Amino acid sequence: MSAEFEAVVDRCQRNVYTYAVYLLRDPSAAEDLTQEVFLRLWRHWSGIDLQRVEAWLTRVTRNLCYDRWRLKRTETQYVVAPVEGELDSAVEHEAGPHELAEARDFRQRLDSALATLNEPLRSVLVLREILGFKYAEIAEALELPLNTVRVYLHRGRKKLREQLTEAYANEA
Amino acid sequence: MKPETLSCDRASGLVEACVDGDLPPAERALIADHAAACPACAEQIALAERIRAQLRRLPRQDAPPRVIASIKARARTERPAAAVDPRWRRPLWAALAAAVLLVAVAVSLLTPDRHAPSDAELIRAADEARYALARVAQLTSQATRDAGRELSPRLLARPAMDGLARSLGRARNAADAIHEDEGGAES
Repeated sequence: MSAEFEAVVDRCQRNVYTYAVYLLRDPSAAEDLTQEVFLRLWRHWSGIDLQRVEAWLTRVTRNLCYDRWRLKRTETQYVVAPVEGELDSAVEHEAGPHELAEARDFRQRLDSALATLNEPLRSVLVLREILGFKYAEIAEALELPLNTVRVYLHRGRKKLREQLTEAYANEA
Repeated sequence: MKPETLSCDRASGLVEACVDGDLPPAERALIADHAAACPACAEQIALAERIRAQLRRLPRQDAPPRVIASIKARARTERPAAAVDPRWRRPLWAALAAAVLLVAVAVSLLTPDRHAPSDAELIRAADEARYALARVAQLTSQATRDAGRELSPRLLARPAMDGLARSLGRARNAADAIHEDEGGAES
């Protein structure tokens, strides 16, 4: 068993799993997919360029998610499970109850809007804003020109902004 | 000279780039001036900044420990594939070379300075090119599956397949033209 392989698993599992969760919106499916991604990595280990393993893992994760969607014939077939996590601790400590509720509401609306974005906008947003990938890393992983990554990022956030604006306007 | 001003539509299209600091100073200044005079656009800029900040606070999650343990346990029982020559595509390259040769033969049969090819020769050339194209598609598909789709077909086989498709189209057009001539002669 390669110690190097285990080190890659330990180092990269968070990004692979998180990416799968945000694409599939189903933690159980994301677990299965994460396992499949790393087993494929092991099966191809001898031919892997370790300098580019993150890009390889990201690309395979995305492709396997696409395969699952094709089986279910839609990108949003899965129940849009909210991604659990903590609010910004500064918000929690300094905000009153009303501000806290509003912040949680905003976060949930944003998360729901993110789940409805089509590909590849969703992937670019998740990789850039949540996982902190650089533009060049996203371009390599998704096989996109660098400028296209930037355009998709802006387009995705604009769509989120439009959705949230409309949602709040409808409630007013 | 009247200073340049932005419309709300134009400003809305620049908001994300502005929030990311991707705009040149002159355009940033235009956005700032517009926002100072337009509360609706100022609100959109604030919303865009809030969205970006909140996206960056969405959680990153570790895979459950049992998933990691399962990956490592299964890897211990499986041997990785033997190192594959980067020219793993040997079968694919061989098929591509054969396909190019077959297309070259097909095209040479259609060269005007040779004797006019017979119908049988044209049909045979088209069939052989069609077979080569199908074989390349089959091997590309197999190779892609084997490599876990890590290699984009665009890098290798698609340009060759596009070329083969064009050659096949020319062969087919030539065969159609001959059949049309025969139909005209008989009428």
